[in-house]
Amino acid sequence: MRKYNFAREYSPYPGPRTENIGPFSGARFKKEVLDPQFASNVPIEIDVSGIRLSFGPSFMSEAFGKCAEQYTKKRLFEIVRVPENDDPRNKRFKELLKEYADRATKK
Amino acid sequence: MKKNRPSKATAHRFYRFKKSFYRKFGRKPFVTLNKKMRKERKQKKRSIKKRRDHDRIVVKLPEIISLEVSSRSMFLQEINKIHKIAYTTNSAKSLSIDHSQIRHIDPEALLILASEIKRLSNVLPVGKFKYSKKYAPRDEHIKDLLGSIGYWNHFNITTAKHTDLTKEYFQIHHDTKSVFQAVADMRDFFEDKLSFLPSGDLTETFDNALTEAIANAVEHAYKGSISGSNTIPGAWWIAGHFDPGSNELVFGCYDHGIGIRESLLMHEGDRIARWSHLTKVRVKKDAEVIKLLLSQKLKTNNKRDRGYGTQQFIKLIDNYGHGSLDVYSKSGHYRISKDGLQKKDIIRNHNEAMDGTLIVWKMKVEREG
Repeated sequence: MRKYNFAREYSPYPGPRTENIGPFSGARFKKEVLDPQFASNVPIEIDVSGIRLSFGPSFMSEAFGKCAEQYTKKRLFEIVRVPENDDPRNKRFKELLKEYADRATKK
Repeated sequence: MKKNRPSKATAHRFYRFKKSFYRKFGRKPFVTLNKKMRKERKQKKRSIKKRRDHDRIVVKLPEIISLEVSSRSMFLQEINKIHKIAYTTNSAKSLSIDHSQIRHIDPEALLILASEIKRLSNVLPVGKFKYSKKYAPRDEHIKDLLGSIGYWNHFNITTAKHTDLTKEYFQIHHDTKSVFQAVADMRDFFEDKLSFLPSGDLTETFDNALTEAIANAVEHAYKGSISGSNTIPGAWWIAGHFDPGSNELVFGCYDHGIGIRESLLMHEGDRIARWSHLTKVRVKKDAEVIKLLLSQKLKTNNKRDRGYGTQQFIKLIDNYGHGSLDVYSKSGHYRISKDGLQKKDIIRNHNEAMDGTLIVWKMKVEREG
């Protein structure tokens, strides 16, 4: 399993939907970080405890919602993991992940 | 003319005298002017001033800079005047903005003025638009406010200091991309200086409301071209402050784009969604269009993952419980306010249209101490 510190390795400020709107976008995160993990079938544990800005709806739907749509919700939770600790940001991130995966796959 | 000019030798002698005088006394010698010379000098000064005044256009800002009904029209008229001058005037003329009469400023209205200054400095050649001490505000409080909110930075002046400790300002921040660090900085400013926004839930809605407003400005506000105006594509401005008088935290986001109605008409949603919302947008006035958008009654896109951004604007006021949201776009103004369980909304369509969209949140604060 790959351990990934979001704030250190990507940005402490999660960006907008796509890169043409602003840097550190959800689309870029999906392309550069999530897609290779799905391709190699190696789970990734994303630790978001260092972020300084909350994840916005645009970032979440573009990065994780799109993954749920493309690879199914089940595969998303197999590949993307969140550390089990007391950090409130990680807890909230886990909730958001579920919320946006549900929204993206709702029929 | 040639007769009066001193010879080269005389001029050199005078130069040597001045030099030695300066060495000896450390200052320039006083020159006693005769009546004729005095008259000539006066005339020369007068003609220079006349020429300078002829080449300068002065726009006088009104006493009250605000978007409230009573002062909105006067303020926007002056903004339009600046706008017109900047894009139609002869480039040989310079422009000055007279701040001396200002007695009251709403910091959110200041975002509109600051954006206009930014546009001017982009359009007018260097030196044609500059700060003049003569036109500085006379009111000490206004001087402090403009200094502390970073208004003069738009004139490339960074020397202003502020002494008004009763109000606290987060400086105007401007960019053309959705760079969200400023949002986190503003939230930290409110948290550190004002001990406000402590709960995690509120932090998230605060972040989402402002980041979505910025992202909307960059993504939707500058679609297509605006004829006759030099906009800065993607530009947005944010600012915030705490007013102890009203015990309110005020912050907002402004773009000088095409406005909500035009932006919706140009929206690239899918065909069915597009047809159904176009008919609504076309027949309604600006304020009604804003209300439709915020109340989620306009389906601009059938994609499941789109259309959640504007929800965040109201969510902040809903979650907090005591405050208001004002959205100004072109001639429309929509306000939604919440006080506990009571929720009210006001719709206003004005005669004068402003450029772009201004979103302002006001939150009542209980401060410790």
